[in-house]
Amino acid sequence: MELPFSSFRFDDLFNRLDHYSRFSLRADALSGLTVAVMGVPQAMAYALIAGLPPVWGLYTAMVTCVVSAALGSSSHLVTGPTNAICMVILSLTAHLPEKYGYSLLEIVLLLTFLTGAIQFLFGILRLGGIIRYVSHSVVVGFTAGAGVLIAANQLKNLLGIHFEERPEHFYEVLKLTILELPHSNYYALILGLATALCVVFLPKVNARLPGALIGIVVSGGIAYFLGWHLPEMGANKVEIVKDIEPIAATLNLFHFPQLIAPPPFELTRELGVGAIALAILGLIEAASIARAVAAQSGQRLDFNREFVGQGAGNIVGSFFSCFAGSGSFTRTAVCYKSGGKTRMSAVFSALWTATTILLFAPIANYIPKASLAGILIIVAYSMIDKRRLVITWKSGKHSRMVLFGTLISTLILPLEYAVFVGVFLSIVLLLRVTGHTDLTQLVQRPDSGFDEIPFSRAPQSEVVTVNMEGDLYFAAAEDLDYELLKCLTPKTRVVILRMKRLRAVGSTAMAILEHFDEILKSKNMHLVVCGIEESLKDVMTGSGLRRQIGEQNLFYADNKLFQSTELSLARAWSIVEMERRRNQAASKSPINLDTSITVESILSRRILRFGNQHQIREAVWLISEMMKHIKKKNAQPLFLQNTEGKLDSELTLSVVLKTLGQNLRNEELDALSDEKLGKKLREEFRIRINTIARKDLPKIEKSTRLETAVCLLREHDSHTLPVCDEDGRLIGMIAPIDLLKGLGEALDFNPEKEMPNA
Amino acid sequence: MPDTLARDLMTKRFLRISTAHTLRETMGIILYGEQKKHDAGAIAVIDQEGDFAGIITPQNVVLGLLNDWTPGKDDPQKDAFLKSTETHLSKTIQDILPPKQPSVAPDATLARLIKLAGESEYECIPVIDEGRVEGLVYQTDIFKAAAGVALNPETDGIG
Repeated sequence: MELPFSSFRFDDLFNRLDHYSRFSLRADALSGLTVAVMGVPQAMAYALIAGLPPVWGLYTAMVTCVVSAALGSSSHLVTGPTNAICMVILSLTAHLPEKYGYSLLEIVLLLTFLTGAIQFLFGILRLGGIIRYVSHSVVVGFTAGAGVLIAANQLKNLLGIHFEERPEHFYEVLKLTILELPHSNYYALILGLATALCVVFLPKVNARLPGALIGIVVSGGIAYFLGWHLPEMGANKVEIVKDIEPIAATLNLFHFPQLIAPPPFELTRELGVGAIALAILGLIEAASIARAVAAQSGQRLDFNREFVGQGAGNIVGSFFSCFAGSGSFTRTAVCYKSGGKTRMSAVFSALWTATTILLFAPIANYIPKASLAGILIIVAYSMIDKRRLVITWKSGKHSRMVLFGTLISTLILPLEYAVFVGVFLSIVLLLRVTGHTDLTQLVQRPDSGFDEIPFSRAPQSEVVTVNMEGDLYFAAAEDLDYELLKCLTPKTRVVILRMKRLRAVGSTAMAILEHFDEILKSKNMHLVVCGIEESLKDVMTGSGLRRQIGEQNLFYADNKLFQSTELSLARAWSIVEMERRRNQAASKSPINLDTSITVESILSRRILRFGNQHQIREAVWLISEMMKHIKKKNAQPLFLQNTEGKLDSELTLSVVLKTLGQNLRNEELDALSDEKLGKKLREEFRIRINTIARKDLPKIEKSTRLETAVCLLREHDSHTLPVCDEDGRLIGMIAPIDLLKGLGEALDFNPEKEMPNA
Repeated sequence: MPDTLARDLMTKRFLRISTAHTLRETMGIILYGEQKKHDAGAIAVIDQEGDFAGIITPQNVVLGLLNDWTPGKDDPQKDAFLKSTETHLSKTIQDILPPKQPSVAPDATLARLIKLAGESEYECIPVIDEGRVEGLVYQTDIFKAAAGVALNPETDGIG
């Protein structure tokens, strides 16, 4: 087994270091700073979600972040404390210290270690692809549910109230909060609301203002200078970070987790399930965030390596007082947008966080707990992605079930089980055969209508028309093959499949068609398909199935009811008739089985043509007029014909521009106004285009083979190939994109499979 | 002073891929990805450090797949051709990246763009600001702008 990072070489490292320090160091340092400014308050607040000392959040934002960045794959993923993960940590661990008598911190470290080990294993075993099967609805639903929980849990911190006993459930938290409402601490509430207002409104004034940071500094300042944090305030004393656990200005983080060697069996077993949930949730989060950023940056991701990075981050983190972390959406987005170039920007964010601890720890100790709660209430609100919820609600009953199944289970079940529920729901729905694919035979009535009849009662005929109806998922495909075969009788020569009423994933329908076509061919029968919708048609083109079945046997869905069915019936009967005649003739000639792709099937007939006697002015006018109607940006040449209508030469945009600009002097390039530039260009307008057009064009006809066309493109070093008939008259052209399409078809590309993950 | 600048002509939405993508993946992106809608035919390439590395077009991909294959005398050649093509599918963008072509700053003038576009058959000219690709100016957009300043809407036409 090859390890994901086995290709490491030292000389390579030094070359890259040299290159790196010259180009990206500054950008990464700056973006790291931006991330840290935003991340420090976030990290402290998230620790509060998990019920842990805020300083642990900072540790996690440093150690876990550095290790995951060093071993991961994404250039912009910033790992550290995240809201949803912290909520799960709280749900997993809050009740354990009472039960087992270990300290909460040690229990959390064991959980961190277990989570990391599971994630690391996922990466090493190359299970990265699995994440693709978890529906996005799970992430949306879970995050929204966690948002509700966080808001409910933070109300008490915002209001500065304390519970006598620890509530188990979501509704108990709400109940206790309402009961305790009369004991609210208004000083805490003011600070919390002030911070929340800063978080919401400052970025609206200027997008570069770090709202959370300013919020805690301002509210902390108010509390400190008015003495609200002092014990003299009595019941109205505002709780500050120092009261939970003081942050010391040292970086002496190493702490061997006592419960690791050897782990207490009972506790480990209880934590194990949670650790699996946490590991999966962390990986889903990190992978989907990394993917979202890679879609913008164009980076190619290695999910297995990402998993190894996440796992290692948590394992190492458990030795440095960190709780489990994952990719943070907000910090990752900030990292990319603020110009981070490599994984070093995440490392820099950790360094800046460390600097913050060393320089500002004494001050950070005076941040009020209510201010952090204020930040969290806003975070919780933004976790409920209203737009996505609406979109998912509208996108069909399956996504709806997954989304709200997950959301509701976050509120009623222990949070770790909600993760499993979500993953389970999306896998079940993926595999499930919803409803059934109903197969009936269509039999033509004398008055030209159709009857739908079960297979068993249908009369034997040379032509069998099968109507497919319902939803189709891939797990049902094999059964369907078997069912389809039941329609065959000894008399059958042609089978028509009507797909109009079939709702299926393109690839699934494709697999069935392909397989069924092969079966029929092996039985020397024919397949005709009708009612093919536009989306299916695209998939069929890409997979080469249109060629396999043959264009003459395919009929596309039309608005008129049964129109494509009627056409396909006509085709089917003509096949039967042809066979009959061939059998009568009894003289068998060898059939040409040449399946080469020729220029005919890929050429585009929309071309720009013009007489070769004109001046440049007229050519420029014509092309610019034509361009008004073409949305595509790729440059098409103008093909010139002689007086007999035969292809004479080719005029590319580049040659026209070169000729127009030939008298522009270098020193005036930056000085000419548009008006003067136009005048200069017009000076060349009278040049005849046949003096500048390219005449040595390759000869291509409809029957030219794909491979020949590709070779001609290379030999002629041109961008397009004109296609002519036998008389040399232009009938179309081939651009490189057409050749690529042809190659895709020849290589049996399947559109659903060829798109890379990122 | 010049009125039309590269900034005004560039397209800000364009596809980026990394030097590590294989030709197979690139074909997938060109044929079945978002690109299909635009059919723009130019993709910005970003290297491992996240810097701009160049422009590739479908032509580069086709020629990369063809490599140095030449038709032999024996017929059918189709199988030999496809076999050769298949071996090149695993090449990466790095392997076929054409030499760096000229780029411009956002304040480059139309006159400068016309000169550049006349130099060679570039599909587009990248607009670079502080090392980042801000946009692509397609040859067709340069042509349109040049025609716009040169033609006189009342009098010009085919005479």
